[in-house]
Amino acid sequence: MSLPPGAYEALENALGAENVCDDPAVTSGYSYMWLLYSTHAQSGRYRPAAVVLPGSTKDVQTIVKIANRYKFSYIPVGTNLLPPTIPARPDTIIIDPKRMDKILQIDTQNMYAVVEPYVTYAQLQAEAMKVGLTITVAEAGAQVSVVANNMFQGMGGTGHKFGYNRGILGCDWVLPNGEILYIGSRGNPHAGWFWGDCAGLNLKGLLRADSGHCGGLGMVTTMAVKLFPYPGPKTFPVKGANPDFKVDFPKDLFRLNLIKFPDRKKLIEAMYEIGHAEIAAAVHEEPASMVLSGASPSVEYFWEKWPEFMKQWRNVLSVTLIGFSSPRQVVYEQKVLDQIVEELGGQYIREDSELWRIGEDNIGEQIRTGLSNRLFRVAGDFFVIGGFGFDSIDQSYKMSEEYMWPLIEEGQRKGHFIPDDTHNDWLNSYQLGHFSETEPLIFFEHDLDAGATFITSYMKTIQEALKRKMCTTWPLGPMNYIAGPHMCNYHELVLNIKRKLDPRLTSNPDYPVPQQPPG
Amino acid sequence: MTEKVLAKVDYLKPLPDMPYDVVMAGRREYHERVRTSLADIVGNDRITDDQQVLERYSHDKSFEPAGRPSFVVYPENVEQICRIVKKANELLLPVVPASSGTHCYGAAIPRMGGVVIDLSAWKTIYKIDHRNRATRIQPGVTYDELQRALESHGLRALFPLLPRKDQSVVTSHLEAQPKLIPEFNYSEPIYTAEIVLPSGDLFRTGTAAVAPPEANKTDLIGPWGPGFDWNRLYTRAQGTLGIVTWLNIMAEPLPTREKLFFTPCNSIDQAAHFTYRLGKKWIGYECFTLNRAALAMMLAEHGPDEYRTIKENAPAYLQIFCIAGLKRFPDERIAYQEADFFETARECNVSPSVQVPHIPRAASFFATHLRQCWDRDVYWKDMYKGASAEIFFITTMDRAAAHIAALQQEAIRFGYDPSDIGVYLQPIENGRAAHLEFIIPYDPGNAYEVRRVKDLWINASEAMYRLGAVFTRAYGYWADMVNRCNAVQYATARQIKEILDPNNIMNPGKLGL
Amino acid sequence: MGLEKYRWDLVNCERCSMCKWVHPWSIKSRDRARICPSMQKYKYDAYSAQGRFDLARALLEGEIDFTPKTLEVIYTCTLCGGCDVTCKFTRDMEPLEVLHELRKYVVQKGKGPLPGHVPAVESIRKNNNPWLQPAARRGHWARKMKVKDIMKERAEVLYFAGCTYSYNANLQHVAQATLQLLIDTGVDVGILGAAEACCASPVIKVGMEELFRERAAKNIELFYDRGIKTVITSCAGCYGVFKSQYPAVGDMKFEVLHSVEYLDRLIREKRLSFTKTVPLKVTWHDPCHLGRGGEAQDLWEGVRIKWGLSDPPRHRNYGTNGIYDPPRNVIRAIPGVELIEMERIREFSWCCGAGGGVKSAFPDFAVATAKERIEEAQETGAEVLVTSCPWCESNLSDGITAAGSQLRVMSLVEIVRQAM
Repeated sequence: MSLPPGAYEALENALGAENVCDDPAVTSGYSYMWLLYSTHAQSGRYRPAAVVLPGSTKDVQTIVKIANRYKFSYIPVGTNLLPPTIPARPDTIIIDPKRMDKILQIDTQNMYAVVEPYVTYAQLQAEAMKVGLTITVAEAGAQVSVVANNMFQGMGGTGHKFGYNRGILGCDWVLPNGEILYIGSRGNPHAGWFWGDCAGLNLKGLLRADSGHCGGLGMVTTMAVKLFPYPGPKTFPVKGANPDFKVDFPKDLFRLNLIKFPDRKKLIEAMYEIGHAEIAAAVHEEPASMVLSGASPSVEYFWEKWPEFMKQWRNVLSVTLIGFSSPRQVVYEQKVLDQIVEELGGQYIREDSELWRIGEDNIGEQIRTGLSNRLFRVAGDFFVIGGFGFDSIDQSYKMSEEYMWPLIEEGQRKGHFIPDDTHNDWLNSYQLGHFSETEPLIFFEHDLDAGATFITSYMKTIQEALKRKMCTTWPLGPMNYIAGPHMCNYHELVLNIKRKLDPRLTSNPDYPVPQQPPG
Repeated sequence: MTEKVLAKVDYLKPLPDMPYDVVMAGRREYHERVRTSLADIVGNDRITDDQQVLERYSHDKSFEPAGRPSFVVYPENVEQICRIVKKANELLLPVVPASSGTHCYGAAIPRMGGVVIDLSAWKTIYKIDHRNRATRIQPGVTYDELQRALESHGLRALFPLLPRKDQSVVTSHLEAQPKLIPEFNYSEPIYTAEIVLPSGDLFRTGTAAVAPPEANKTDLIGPWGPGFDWNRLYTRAQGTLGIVTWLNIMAEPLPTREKLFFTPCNSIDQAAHFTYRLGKKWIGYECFTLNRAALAMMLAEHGPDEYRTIKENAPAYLQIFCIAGLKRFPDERIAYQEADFFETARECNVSPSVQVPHIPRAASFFATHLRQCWDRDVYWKDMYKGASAEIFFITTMDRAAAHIAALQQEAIRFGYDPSDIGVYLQPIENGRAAHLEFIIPYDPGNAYEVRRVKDLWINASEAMYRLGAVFTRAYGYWADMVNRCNAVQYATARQIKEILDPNNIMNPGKLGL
Repeated sequence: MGLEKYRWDLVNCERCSMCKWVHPWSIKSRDRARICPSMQKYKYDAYSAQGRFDLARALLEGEIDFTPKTLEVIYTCTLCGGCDVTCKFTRDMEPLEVLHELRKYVVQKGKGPLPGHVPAVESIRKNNNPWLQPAARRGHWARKMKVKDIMKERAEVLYFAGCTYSYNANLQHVAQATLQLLIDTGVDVGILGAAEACCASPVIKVGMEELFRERAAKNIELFYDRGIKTVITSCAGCYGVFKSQYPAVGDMKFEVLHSVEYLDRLIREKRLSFTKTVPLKVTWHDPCHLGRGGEAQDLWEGVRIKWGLSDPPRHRNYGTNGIYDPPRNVIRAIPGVELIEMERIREFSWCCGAGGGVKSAFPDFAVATAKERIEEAQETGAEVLVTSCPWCESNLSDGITAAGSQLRVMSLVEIVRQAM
């Protein structure tokens, strides 16, 4: 866990002593997180050899060049929420962008913002709302890095209207050789940030895919992201006090509908009809566990309510209408929604009911994710059994029913996952129903046995999908070796590109695909 | 005293001179070897080196230098393409894919010779998936063919502005030709693709990767990955990274009722301001702006005199905006959007109407042509003088005025009447960006004018670049222009090209690769 | 049990980073989104609750040893409790308790407190105050006032001035004004004079549990002996420790009120009214130990069972039941005063920077934190930053100097006196 001789001094000389630290008191803060024991089980985990705090793109270039010179690896992070940012090898440093935390620009007219990696969604959205704009906020929570999340997923509550995975515009990307690759309009020194596609070969295609390269191809140090029209109040309308906040959007422009369908198939039909009618800003199947955890001020509250709530909250579709043009839009869309709901035998959850009280903050969650981390409250650890694979709404449903829920039930029988017989996922519509992905939630204790069940099940969802020729769960890191041979050997192309752009393997070496299949 | 070491003098000797006939014999032998190899794959009747045919592929409407292929082949299936590409690697033979009947920007000119793989006869529409608003098509399918097929399923294709009759829908999507509807959710309409890689291996993007369509149990909708965002990498790649053999693309609900509005504007800024505001309201479908010259080019049916009359009567800029209803409560949908549209117009101090003042034919023309190919022989851009040069790029609407002014200045500098330059402003994604296009008509029979317009075209392109134009579709000269100023991008692109196409056989020379 | 008691928390922190920010729904701008002064200053994750959880876990597991940096990481925290509020919105963990326990652990291991803390600690031991002042002079601030000496005669209410208001010449007027106001409004009030002893907050904040328990027990015994029914203090530090830490030491048979609560009560009962207009634009700074730290703590002794449930179920503090409304009620009752709120208020209030032993050991950090609060206050357009805590008043004044600001810091009681 120490750097090659001279490397630390080189970093200190470049960044200043206060911006480099290898003391275990500091590095231990970068060595542990959820899911870690399950994903890093094969490779072990290490404390980083040091943590560095660059203050600029130039600093990042210098760090990368020093890493190449002294042959140590680095992991660029954002707000540091996922296991790929924990070193799985010794001699790895963390590039922590805490000093790169500025919103450099918000272009109101052309609807984009330029941000550094340590700007969170909540910060950016707060500033955007002041000028009538918004952004779709990561489901991981509004406290995560806009840059890192866009590199990794970029999905969020209002994805039905604002899309998924398509938020990135111009970027400054420090490649593993230390050079800056200007993405999109940044490639023209006179153009600015407004566009993401490159002139010439569109290298934005390497920036990310179904998931990001997790720092395996350098670090994006500044990014322009798309903003979207927002007709609401200039400050996020929250009332109440911790831990019982309530959101309070003007009802003529923002209307939440919680609709119970007789079965899941009808709910799926409704999602299609909503998509075809091109209405709504957010459309999600809302699983009981997610809704109740979101409303739970404590784990005890959750477990007190869960057995009964699980029976009552089934096949519920959450549909938020937003009047982008005027309240007239909401009136029209509500009429269309009413017709769809009636045709499919759905029932609105009444606003004076207990179920509504528990679910009503959904609208706030869709616009600025503030509840999702409560999912950890339920049992200690949480993830999805598999999923994130994007295809049609039908495909999401089939994946869920055919092999994901059977795996969940297996985990429940072992006593590792919490009891849940709802068969409802967080199943989402993106881009007016053009795309969908599903996330069957599982909750388990933070122990090795439950973690092993989780990770085995997660990998099984990839194997099951491959067997059935269906959409696979995201294969992260080593899992690409499971999927790749069955999917046009994409992993080899990825590896070849990784080796070409990062020949010394200094940039998060095991991502996007490790050099060798796992032992 | 140290011993003197004499300088080393190396001298590269010339190769022995080879007699001309030996060189030519070698070439002929190579040519025949290629013919035999390709004919073995596709059959003798699907390969040609007929000079007239080759001539057709050796230049196009652009100013790009000509380049003659050695052969054109018309493969029957994907397997044949794979074999051709594998063989091309052995023979170090350039391979250039072509799908449209008419080529405009030099992308399909075989700059370094080789074989053109013509897929314009590949006209299968494999599937129209109404439920998922998708259609999977081969590269030879044209817009009219696709639109006819989709309409019977209650869907529509995403049209660019008045495409040519023989325009390939696949190429249009791969080249990211701007579509008339700036709705964010339609802005990247490719779901999945099948690609013959430069190695000759078959690759499929997104969820198509998991199995060929016939065995695949997804809906071929998921566009991302696997691994990298291949759809994006291959978009605008001009065939330098492989050959796309089918695309699954978006097909959107066919309106049940629609209403067109025309808004005369005094300036491009006024049109841009109005369009920005509408984009933020997130209403309407087709939305674009033409200047009077572009409008006259489209509407004049009877030659230059009519062109000039229309131009005189037309407003400086005309914004065209369409509101439509779908299956559910179409009239109410139109009604609320119309109310919001007119409210916005009042705020912007413009006066939309269902007619274009002084040009009565305009309304009916656009009512029928928003989802149609150009149906006359001479393309509208060429109507005035027989040919036209085009400059287009991505910018923002608030910069359009500066671009237009700079272009007009360049036109004056080259003695070209700026009022004859057509302007087409197409907002993208609710107006966050825009495709700005200039159409510069010229007489192809007048060599002086051709040279003058070519000089204007080059100088104006450079001027646009200096004003921040983003030439995402970097054809011909533009590729050199953008690569010149973006060394890391260019070097990285070359690295990617080297990995995917180590022998540089796929459309070599394009994008500067 | 010490730190061990929190092993579940340490292992289960998923690193969501909520501890670093105001809850997303309450964030109003980019600049005022953070909750943790330590993170703001030192940047590394180690200086957040998440990082300190990792540090605590690594120490417990024997993964790492103590280094000077370990102590710095542990002590560069104002114990403001911001992370506790935001973490608890999502998780059933106790960051603030862990941060306290971590310091106790350091002391137990003989590594703490820091040299910068030692003079104050020793002074408390010897002089009953952290300011190295003789105990005998403690009551001097009130020598010109006519007030009962509780050591000699009974009074229902004890006005507990606290060390800083007693000794700091720049702040004594706050104690004097408060006491006078209580006298004027007819309260049966007295003081302990030289017998008043430090609440011992400074020692528990640096992890010296034994000394704290001894001192707290003595205070409780003294209050009980003197028959005091209500303790009123103007010091948020004293108030916070009385409310949150004393119950763990002994039976609290008396009510504890902060002076702002008492003022609010007097106004509501119409025992205090204002005759003058005070034309001022003010903003209120919630002292951490009056707000988030002003809640009574649940003395839970239990274990975590399946799914992380607490057994027996424990009550948790969410930072919401502190003293937030009383000072605002008082301000709003004063004719002419306009209250303009800052972005981070109530449970999301930004710390003044002085707490947790930071002012004595890391004065630069303390001032940097204060400076940020001053800038935030300035953005409201207020002329005066009002608060009611000697640590906040003193450190925010340093922040004003550092920021070169024209803002003034006043204690709420001063404005109240002006309006009477």
